[in-house]
Amino acid sequence: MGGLLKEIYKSRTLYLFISPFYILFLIFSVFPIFFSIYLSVHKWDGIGEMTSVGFNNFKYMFKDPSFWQVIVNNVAIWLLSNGPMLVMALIVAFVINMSIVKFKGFFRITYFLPNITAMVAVVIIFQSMFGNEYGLINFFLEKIGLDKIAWFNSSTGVRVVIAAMIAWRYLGYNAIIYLSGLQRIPKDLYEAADLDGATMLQTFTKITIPMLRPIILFSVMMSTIGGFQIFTEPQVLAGNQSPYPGSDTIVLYMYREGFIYQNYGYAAAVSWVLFVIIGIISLLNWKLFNKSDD
Amino acid sequence: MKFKALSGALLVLCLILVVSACGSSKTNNAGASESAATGKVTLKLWYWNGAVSDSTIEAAKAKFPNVDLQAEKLPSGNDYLTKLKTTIAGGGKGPDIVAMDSWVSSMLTYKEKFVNLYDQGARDIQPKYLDWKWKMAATPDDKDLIGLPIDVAPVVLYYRTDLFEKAGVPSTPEDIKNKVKTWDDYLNLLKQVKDKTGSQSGTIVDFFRSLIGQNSEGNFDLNGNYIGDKEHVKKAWDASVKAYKAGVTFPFSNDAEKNAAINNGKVSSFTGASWAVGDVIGAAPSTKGKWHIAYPPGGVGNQGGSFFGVLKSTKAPKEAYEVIKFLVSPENLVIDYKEFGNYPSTPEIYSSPEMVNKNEFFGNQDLSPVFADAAKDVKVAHTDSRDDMVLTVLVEALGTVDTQKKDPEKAWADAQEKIKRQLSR
Repeated sequence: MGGLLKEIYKSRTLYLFISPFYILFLIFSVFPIFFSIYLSVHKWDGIGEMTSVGFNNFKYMFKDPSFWQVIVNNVAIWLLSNGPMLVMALIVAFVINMSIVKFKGFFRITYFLPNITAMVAVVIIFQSMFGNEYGLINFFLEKIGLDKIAWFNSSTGVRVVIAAMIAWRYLGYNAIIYLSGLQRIPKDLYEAADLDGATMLQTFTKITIPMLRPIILFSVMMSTIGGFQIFTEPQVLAGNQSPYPGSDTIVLYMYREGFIYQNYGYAAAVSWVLFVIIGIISLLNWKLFNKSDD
Repeated sequence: MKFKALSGALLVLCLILVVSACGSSKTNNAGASESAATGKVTLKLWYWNGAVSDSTIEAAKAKFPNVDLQAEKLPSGNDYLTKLKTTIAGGGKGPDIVAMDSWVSSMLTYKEKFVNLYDQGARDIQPKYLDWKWKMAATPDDKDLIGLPIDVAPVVLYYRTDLFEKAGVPSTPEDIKNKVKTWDDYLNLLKQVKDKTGSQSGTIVDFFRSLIGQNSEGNFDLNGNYIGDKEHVKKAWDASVKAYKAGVTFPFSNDAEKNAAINNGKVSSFTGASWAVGDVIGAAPSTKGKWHIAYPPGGVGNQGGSFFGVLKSTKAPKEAYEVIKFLVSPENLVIDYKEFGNYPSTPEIYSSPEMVNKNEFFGNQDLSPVFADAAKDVKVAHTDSRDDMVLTVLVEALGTVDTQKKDPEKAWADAQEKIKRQLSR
């Protein structure tokens, strides 16, 4: 211990250099993390006295049907958005990577653009596009002789809208990642397949997919973590009050409990449960990821 | 070596700067610190855009040369409330004067964090203000007052004159006031308008909000007991369901949809607070000149309106009180009304010529007399910090009656169960 302190003292100039970051990190990240553990076993409205309630927050959470409902919503939105989106991203990347496609740079940029647009604006545009009475989507559905769909009246409809927003936003991002993976695959593999007379489908399933496996697992892992933190889309879509059916996600539930209803202790407890959920899923992903190296 | 010493000194300096940057807010925020040099009192004021007009704040600066008034405009809504609450929780270092919305009553629980304005002589100006509005910021025993009234938001009926005329129903503000007195009258009127013109009214939830806004009882009684499952709320619920079943409510959806419907003439009328004037003008430009406002069916109600309070942590309660007294004086409230449409809470000026507010969008109707009529005798329900949660659950459940065709009785029972579970912890 003394040796360590001595070492630190020796290179004190360097420690001074990095200290501004660590001081801010301590105040704004480390302290809140530990404080939220303390908070999660208390009842606190933000102003009044904090009262210790033991594990009551957690007990209440597991008995609250709304909590289970938000988990169901969250998983549904995550599956609806990421499943089709990752498949589409792979196809887009594969097409851009084909030697017959010109202007690769242009496509790369265009597909990536949605990722850097302002989220709130996107949500508002999607909201009016999917509008029940005056939405653009329903307008086209009627034009081609179909019935209008009341998107916001059913939980499935709302989930589809939110999933579409997420898919639209992250399609390009994942396509770019896949594209970089595709470009890493040695050309001679394709040339050999070509000589052997393999079809395009065969090349895709027998060469591209296996060679891309680590990249695919990476993107699945990242979108899982992202999927459990969906917040902006449902929050802007539904506003603070009267949420649409099926749109509540875990983070939104936590936010509403904390910052709208002022149940800070309960919100802290929810955040720790969310931490455990994401931890478990990341662990599962990591196991899968490691296996792929065998 | 020299370089090392120099760089070391520089680093220490940087560190001091960084650390002091974190703490500097303290020295600035010490608020009403009388600086010996100038003898000026610093007062920090928090408000949101639209709470009061900037020109009245400038006027206050000119009026009190001994006060250094620092007005800070913050984001409105829940963000403001959260910031205020956390500031008070953190010891109240920060603002001296704070604007408060109609949630002011829920702050009465923390009245010890506010200056009791009665101690500063607020009783002298009390007669100038609407009684019900004043009482919102006073404790039930009327010994403490935590805010002075700024504006009120009386609820009126917004309606399309042309559509009402076409349907052959009362279409002048006077006729509507005299003939459409109850919600049943209004419902019958809406049915006629719908048959003749195909247009509807607000959503099932709009009905509900307006109806409970007219109640003299809220969701909690004075002792904090839950009464939101009682007759007065259920009645509002049933009346909204009745209107929905009669087919006169616009399908419950988002604001963009509703605004499009208003602009397309699909909405013939709705009840809304005085601030909805700006909303309807913005939403429906192509219906300009066709709207009017009238006394609302079922009696008066209020949806919003703010207050100015002084935090206990201030070092100059006397000066702070003088500043807010000036800001909420009738003369300044008229300016707010002209700039933002915030309707004043001081009846004495309702009839003054300055208040005439003829609006082309409303066919040159003078809006002020209708608001004045609707602002009198409002019965204000006791509010509670848990109202937001109760209302959200009720509104969400009522929405499903329309969107998912849920059985109204089942939706009511489920919502009450959910509220009680929330309250049980």
